[in-house]
Amino acid sequence: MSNSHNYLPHVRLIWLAFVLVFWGIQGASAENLDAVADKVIESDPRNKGIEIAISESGSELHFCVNNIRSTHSPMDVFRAFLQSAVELKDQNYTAVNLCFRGEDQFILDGDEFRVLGEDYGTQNPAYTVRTFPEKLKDMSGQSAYPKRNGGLLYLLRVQMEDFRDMHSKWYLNELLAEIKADQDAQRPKNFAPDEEVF
Amino acid sequence: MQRYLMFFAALLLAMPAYSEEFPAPFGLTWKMSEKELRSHGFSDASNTGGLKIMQSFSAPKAWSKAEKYYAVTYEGELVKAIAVSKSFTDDVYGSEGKELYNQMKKILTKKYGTPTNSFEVVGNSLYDEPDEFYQCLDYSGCGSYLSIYEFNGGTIGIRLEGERRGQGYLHVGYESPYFSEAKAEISSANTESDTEAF
Repeated sequence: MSNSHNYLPHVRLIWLAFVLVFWGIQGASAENLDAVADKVIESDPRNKGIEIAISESGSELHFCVNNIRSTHSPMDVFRAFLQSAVELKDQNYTAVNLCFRGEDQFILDGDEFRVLGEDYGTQNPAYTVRTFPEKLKDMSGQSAYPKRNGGLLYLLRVQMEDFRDMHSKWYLNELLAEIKADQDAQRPKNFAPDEEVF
Repeated sequence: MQRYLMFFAALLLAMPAYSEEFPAPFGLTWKMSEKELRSHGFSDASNTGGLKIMQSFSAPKAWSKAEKYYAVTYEGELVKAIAVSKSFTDDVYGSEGKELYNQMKKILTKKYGTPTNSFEVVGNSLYDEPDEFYQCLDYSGCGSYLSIYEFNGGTIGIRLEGERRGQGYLHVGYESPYFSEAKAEISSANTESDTEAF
């Protein structure tokens, strides 16, 4: 009994140390992900103005688009995503969630994410772009886009349509609706007669 | 003293007084400052070749068909004003576009006389089917819907623009006499600069 009394403070200390180390790792990890996001945006001038946020929950990664400029295209956002995959390819995520302002829209398998990171710079980017949508699942776990088959010209057309549709559903529809609402708020409600306008 | 007064009177008479004669559209005033334009909702859009372009979704006297307004300033003062209409969509034969074009032409002809030049031709090359109206307008040398009014030293132009199949818009532009002066000054400065360069 006396032994256990003597032992107890040590156990408490070990637990305390474990908890501190665990929290330290968690904090460092979140900071690292912020650093990855900053590095991706700052290291490529084409990414300037794209606002992304990368976070973890358990073994899953969340890659969120928060905003883009009117000069950016879906290709710019996708490039930033691939560059993030390069930075995080050594992590073993089970899944990567593509999100818009914190709301998950699509799920990519963690292994596919790692492969994207490893292949960046060597794999034909057109192939990476075309075959990306068919790797995604929607939030119910179903395939978001079918695996396309057919001749090259047909494949080029339908896979690029899927790619554009994926970006629309991921963040573009929301952003465009926001821009339109903002513009509509600036529009006049009353109009002058045409003879006075001209 | 009388001689000096006569000299200044002659100088004043010799100075162009366009602003009272050439009409400014949308409730704007020629030579109004960028600060005033900003107070009416205009914001900077681009700055090229000595001319600044500002844009707005509203104007003091708003046109019911306008999508956007553009103000062109030279040395901080308004010299040109443009309005573009909302896009006509699902208008493969150009019926809506032609209706607004003719409506505008009627208003301007009533106020400023017969157009100096008018071209209302489509189907000259490549896009010669009636349902290819906007593709034709968008294709160089195929056709144009354009009327120009030269009035008191300035120019007013209305032009139908094609964007894609079934889609286009109307462009209404007012170039004040100050715009021609600005262009001449810019051109002269460029020539001097080129001369110095060699």
